[in-house]
Amino acid sequence: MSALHQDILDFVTQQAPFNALPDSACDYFTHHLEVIYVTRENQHQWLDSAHPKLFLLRSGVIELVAADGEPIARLTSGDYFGYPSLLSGETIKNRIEVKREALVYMLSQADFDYLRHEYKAFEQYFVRAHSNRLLSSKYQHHGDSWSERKISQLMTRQAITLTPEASIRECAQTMSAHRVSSIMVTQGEGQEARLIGVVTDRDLRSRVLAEGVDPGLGIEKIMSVEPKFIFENNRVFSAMHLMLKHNIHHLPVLNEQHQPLGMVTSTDLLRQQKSDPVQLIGRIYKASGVADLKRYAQEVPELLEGFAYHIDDISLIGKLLSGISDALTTRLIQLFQQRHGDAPTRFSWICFGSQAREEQTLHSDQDNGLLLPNDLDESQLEYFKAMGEFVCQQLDVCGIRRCPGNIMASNEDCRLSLHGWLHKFERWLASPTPEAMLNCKIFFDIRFISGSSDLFATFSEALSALKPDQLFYRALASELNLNSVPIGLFNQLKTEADAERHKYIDLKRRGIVIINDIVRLYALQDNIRHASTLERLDALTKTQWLSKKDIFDLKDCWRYLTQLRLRAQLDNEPLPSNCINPDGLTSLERHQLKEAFYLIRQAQQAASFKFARGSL
Amino acid sequence: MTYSWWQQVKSKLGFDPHGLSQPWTTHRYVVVDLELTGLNPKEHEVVSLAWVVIEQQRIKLSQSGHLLHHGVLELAQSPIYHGITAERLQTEGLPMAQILERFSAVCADSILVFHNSLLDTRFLQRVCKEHQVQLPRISLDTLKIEQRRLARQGSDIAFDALSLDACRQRYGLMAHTSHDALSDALATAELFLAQANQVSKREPVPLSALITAG
Repeated sequence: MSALHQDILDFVTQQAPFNALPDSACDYFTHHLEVIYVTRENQHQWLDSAHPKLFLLRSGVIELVAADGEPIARLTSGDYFGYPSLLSGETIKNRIEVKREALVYMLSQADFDYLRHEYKAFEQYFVRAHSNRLLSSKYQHHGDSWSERKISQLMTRQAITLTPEASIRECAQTMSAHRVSSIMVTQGEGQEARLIGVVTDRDLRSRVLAEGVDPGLGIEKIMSVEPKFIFENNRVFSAMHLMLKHNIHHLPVLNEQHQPLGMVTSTDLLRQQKSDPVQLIGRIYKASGVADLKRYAQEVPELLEGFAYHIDDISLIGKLLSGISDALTTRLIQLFQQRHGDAPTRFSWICFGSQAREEQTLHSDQDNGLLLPNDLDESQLEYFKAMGEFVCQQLDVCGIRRCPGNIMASNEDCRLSLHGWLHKFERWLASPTPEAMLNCKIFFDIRFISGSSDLFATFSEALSALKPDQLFYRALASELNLNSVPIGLFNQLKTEADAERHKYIDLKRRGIVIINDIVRLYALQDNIRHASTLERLDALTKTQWLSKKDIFDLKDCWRYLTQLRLRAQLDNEPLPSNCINPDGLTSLERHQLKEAFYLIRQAQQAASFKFARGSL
Repeated sequence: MTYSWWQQVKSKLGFDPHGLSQPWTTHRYVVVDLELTGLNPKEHEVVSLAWVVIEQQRIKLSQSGHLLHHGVLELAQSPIYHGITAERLQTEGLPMAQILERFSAVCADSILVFHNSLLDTRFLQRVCKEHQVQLPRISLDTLKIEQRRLARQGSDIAFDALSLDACRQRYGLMAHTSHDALSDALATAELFLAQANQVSKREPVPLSALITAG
């Protein structure tokens, strides 16, 4: 005999997911609500693990707080809470803190379950909200994981700068006055100021005192020119890597407009928590021979295991493994040059595929090549042949397997001149055969590792200038549909089986690769030169092809699948690599997995529609 | 129906049949609102009666009711205020005897809550007497609770400061849009929860603390 509360119904029908549900769902929800008034005094009594509820805030402000006191979300009118334990059955760990007295609608588990079963969109909404909450609460810890912090968070000192005409004495006085061990030398005023050099106290010692240079001279005589630098938005991890790679202790920090902001020092970084993976990279760069390198490389899997459980942003694992591969490669190239003399010309060691995308796993194999200047003579080519063979061979010894497709600098086809590489790309773009398409997927994810960055920049520019025609994009787009997500007709997960009849789902081929392909397609279209999928997605926010929400969803899916894949690899399940057994997942994880595949399928269809129709 | 000094004395002596010394949270409340054809209980009629139920500090929407009175003789100009037409009364309405039967079942062992009980209780008393129905003896009035609170703060009480929405606003509750009996009953119930919590501070106060004489 209950009556209809029109006020509440009007409010409810405006809220997601009810705005997309039939009236019957809204009526049911409204009819079964209980209304409570939550104050600071009574806030403790509503979240009860024995009787989990769905809460919908009507008015007031409530802060959701994790067990460790970390605020998770600030909830206002229209926000839900309490659904994670309704979905997972887990005990409630969060608590609420009332900021302003709140009127809250409350729904029991039984009624929530009824709506879940009756209305697919209702369930989808909360499953997705839950996985977003899981992901976003992890990102909140960003600040805790030191290597993921931005440089700007670490840099405290403001930029101490001098012009190149300033005397060495003046420089020493400035450094003493500011109690710093280095200064930046800049040219130009205000907005126009550009970094041209760095002077450190070590320079004063070794280049002035030891050499008996007149302290009245300008500092341009003793400064290090064209110093390495880092941007304020880069991660601490990158700064560490750069310092170790070049054995420097001071790194100027610039903003995106290349204006100097300050300096980070190795001491600043050491003050941060020490981290084994980064130390490992440091040791790799100092290894005295291939035997050392091999020993260090053996530590990687164990190290990763320890690290993986402490890290919050899973994309960093791929970055870290790629960082280790980069370090190994760079050091091997140096060791080769120590033994066989410096390279006779400029060269760029480049990588492709997963290493370029910085999403390497423990099972990734080598994908690399050498970019050389045009018109080299026989003996120069001989030198690089030996370098390619040596480096690839030693990488294999260090545990990075040879590429089954022979995309390695030891292969003549991957040791090409500028012209040679460009010609190769041109050919693929012009004739979109299936083989050419496959090559494009591998080779368009390209990143510079070692050698001459100028040579690589020249190549990159020339590559950007190659404008593929519509046919090419259409071919890439139709390739997209060769892989499909493993979701069946009735929304169940489709598994494959190996010879021993283990059921599995290939997360890489059926999920991650599809995302990478979609994102590459858009990135190529917009001439985005990043190789990593997440960075490409970030860059795509500035273009029109994908909505913010699509980008957010794709990033989420990518992270989720990558995380599952990594966990499976660490658990050493008896399955093909990159695969998981869906029976080992909790029901919530299965839901999230289906949700991820569902979103991927939508993005896949959208992309092939946009490109294959030739609407561009 | 209100609670007198005599009952207070009795409860002090340990005689407490209505649980007045019990925390307010332990009681069940039925919050009531009536729609009328006018202001005079002798001459005007009840158009509809709506209620919402509060148990353990929760307004249980599934137990709400809104019953229209089939036997209204003269609606006159009153639809201007409540919007209920003679046609609706004909099709959806019930005889007063049935309304009171169902309402008194809902009210069993509960405390009635009104906003401005004066008018509504006089109408209720009249129809209950006619149909020989017993309603709970104890009732609360959110208007009086508010009036007393403001008086204690020493503020002057403006003419319209005690309207339902003005009271709600002081507790940060949003203005309610529709003004039928059911919506007003719900708005009153929410106001009551806010007031009771406000009076309570740390521990729920006994029911007697919410009852105001007169």
